[in-house]
Amino acid sequence: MNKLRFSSGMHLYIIISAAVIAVGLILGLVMHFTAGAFFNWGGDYAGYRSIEVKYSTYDIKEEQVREIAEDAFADNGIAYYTFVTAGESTNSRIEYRFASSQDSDAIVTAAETIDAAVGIGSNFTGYAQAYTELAAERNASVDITYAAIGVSVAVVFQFLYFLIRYKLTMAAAAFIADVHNLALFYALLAITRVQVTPAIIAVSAFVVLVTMIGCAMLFDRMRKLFRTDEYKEMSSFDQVDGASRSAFPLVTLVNAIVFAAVLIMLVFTAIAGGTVFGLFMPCVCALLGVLASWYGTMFFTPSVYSRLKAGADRRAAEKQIKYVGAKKSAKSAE
Amino acid sequence: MGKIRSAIITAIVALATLALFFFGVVSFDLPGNIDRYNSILANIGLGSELSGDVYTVLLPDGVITAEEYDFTVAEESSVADEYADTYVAAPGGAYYVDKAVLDVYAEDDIADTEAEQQQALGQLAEDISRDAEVLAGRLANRNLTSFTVGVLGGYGLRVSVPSGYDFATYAGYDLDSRSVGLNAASSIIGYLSRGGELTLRNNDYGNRDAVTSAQTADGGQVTYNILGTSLEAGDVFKSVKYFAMGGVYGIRITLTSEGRDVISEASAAIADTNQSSDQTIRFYVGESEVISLTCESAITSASFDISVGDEATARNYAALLNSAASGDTLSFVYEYDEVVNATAAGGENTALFLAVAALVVLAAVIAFSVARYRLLGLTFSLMAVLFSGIMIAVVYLVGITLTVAGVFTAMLTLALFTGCNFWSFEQIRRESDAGRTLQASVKTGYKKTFSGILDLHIVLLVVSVLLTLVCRGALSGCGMILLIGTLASYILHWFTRFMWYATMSPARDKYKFCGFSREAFDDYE
Repeated sequence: MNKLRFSSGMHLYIIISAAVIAVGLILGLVMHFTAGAFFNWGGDYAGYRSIEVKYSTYDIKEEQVREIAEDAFADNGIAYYTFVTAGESTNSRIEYRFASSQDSDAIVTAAETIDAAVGIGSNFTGYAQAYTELAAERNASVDITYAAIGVSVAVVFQFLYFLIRYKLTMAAAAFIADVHNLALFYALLAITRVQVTPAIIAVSAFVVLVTMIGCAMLFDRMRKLFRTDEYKEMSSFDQVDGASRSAFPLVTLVNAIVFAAVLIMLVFTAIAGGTVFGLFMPCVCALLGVLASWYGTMFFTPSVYSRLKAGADRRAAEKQIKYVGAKKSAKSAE
Repeated sequence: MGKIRSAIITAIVALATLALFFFGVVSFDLPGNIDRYNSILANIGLGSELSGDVYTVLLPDGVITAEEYDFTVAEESSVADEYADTYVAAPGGAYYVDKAVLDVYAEDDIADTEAEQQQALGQLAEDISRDAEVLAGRLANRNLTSFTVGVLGGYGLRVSVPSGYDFATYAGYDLDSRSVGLNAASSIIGYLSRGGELTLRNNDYGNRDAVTSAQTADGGQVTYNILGTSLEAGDVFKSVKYFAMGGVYGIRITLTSEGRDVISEASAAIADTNQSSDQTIRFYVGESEVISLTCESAITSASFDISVGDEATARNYAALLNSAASGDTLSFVYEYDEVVNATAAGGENTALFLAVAALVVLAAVIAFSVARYRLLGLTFSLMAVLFSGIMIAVVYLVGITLTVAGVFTAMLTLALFTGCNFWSFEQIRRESDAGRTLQASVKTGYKKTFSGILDLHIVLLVVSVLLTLVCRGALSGCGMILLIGTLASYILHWFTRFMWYATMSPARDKYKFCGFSREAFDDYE
């Protein structure tokens, strides 16, 4: 078994968490007041600009159109974009999407260049049109509202279940773990500027689920170990450390499996290059979520819980002295 | 357990598991070019980030694209002057707007100056933007995993809905389903983008209003407005909701108390063949009939149902009528040329790469378990494969649409299943190290981890139910996947114990079977 002492590092963990959350908050606020968004909202929520290129496959191949478009983007200093292709056997189209911060003049010029190459001015029958005013397609507040209600209800249920099944201190610690891990996750999103998409809102629920699994494993160990006399005689800090050390490999294993799964997806994204670009941000986001959950559950929560437990034990002892009497208590202790 | 019984059980479970997994994951061509077998996984409906969406651009009557304008002017020089007189270029250059549309916004009913035209264009853009919100509300009510509504270039509405394709359809192995999916998506957009107010009409009963007068002028079938001009739809209808019961689909219309009186009186008159030759109440949105109800007697209840042929149509009707009944109507009648099927928003091959990545994860779990627990690891691997097969089959049978978030959730349930089993294995290893026999260790190990594993599954089970019920769209789908995964994990956890018992029975060295080391005690020598 490892010799990690989780409970003694509360101040360190609080400093780490507070620092990350503060940096995320400050960076988010700076971006809010300078760029207008706390998070880096993706095109679904923040809107985007686009160029739609239509062409006939009798005239020109998709590869040629994409080459023309890429040259046009390079000439106009446009580096980042995504695209989807559409169409049937004869008439096809490619829709290029750019962040709403991309210079609209550059997009219009690029579209004109593409149109000159594939449109009616050339020998072909295609058409390229820039759309520089494209409003958000999804209502972030609606998505967030539903996600927030769902996650909140789940967290409250977990609190009540732990309160009934375990103890108030454990339920409180699990609640703190959920809130802490979510705060840490959102801070990391603000710091890394990972694009917030609908899939990433679902990852928030994923963070809470991973945290719940970790907390349930941790507190079950705590309860099991409490059945031995050796543990009962230990201080609260040692008890929590023992349970945490015991649960550490398992919680780490579960997180490691999820982390490895997401990492494999991310590696595949990198191997596949531009063809699965849409997976990159959700994968990075899920990795951040797993890291936040693991750290929060395995390091932050035990250290906070040990204090809660120490306080609860002290109050219980005081209560015993008050009601049973100091002498009787001392006698029973003997 | 005897060797023969053990071998039979192991063989049956292994064969069934491998068969389920094989048919669950592997697609192949059948001999003789008869057809193709598409795996269960390839038949699961995918979300738009995995299989693309179907989109179109809705344009209000009187608005044309710059493409149409440019082509027409270039190809037909005879109409070039007419187009130049009729249309005004909208800001951004993507659209041209008929001057007649702008006249509606002018104070003197003619937007003849550039300032008036620019002001009218601004107001038109505002109305279209407001329509985008109404349309988004209708689509949200339609119970889709995802959808988008965006104002394109200020004067067009770009609407996308999931194609609903499974992988076999997306990859082009099932072209029939592709056209079915396109038609279904087109129907959603077509129904939900209907502009105009909700009216109830009959050929004989009701009041003449502006609409019915116009019909008379056109020489078409005259219908009468049952509600009259003094009542609005919101005064009559509380809600219109989709319902399904025993394979019957339909919409349930709930009336206000005022609506109950109106419908009761109207339906009594319409049902009476002496008063009306037409026994049908027709629900119109704008100038399009949506659904009709044949009255055989007066409707006196607070709500009534109208059955519809299929689920998709019933959902379309409910979303449209509920919106129109609430007074959320579109300002314009929108038209679109075609619906376009785009590749997956996450990238063309996202679904394929996700599937391969998930298989690699499963292979990694199997490799780790075999390395750590030897033959027990192999038994667990069989259960992990069974877990994956069951997940695939149940997700398909329940009809859940798989999204990226859903795949992450499925991975989480695999981690849950693996973690819980390894938790028990490690506890048994500890018991064994403490000197117990393997049989006693297994019994004590499972006993000691029982409450923890049960707690974990209860928490996740209730949370998954809450997510399914409270959330909507992709998050609701994640809740369903979590629910299935949690149930499968708990059931298979105990089945793993049974299979451990069954497969280990014939082994001579049971410690070696499990990859555990036997403690040698001096006392026993």
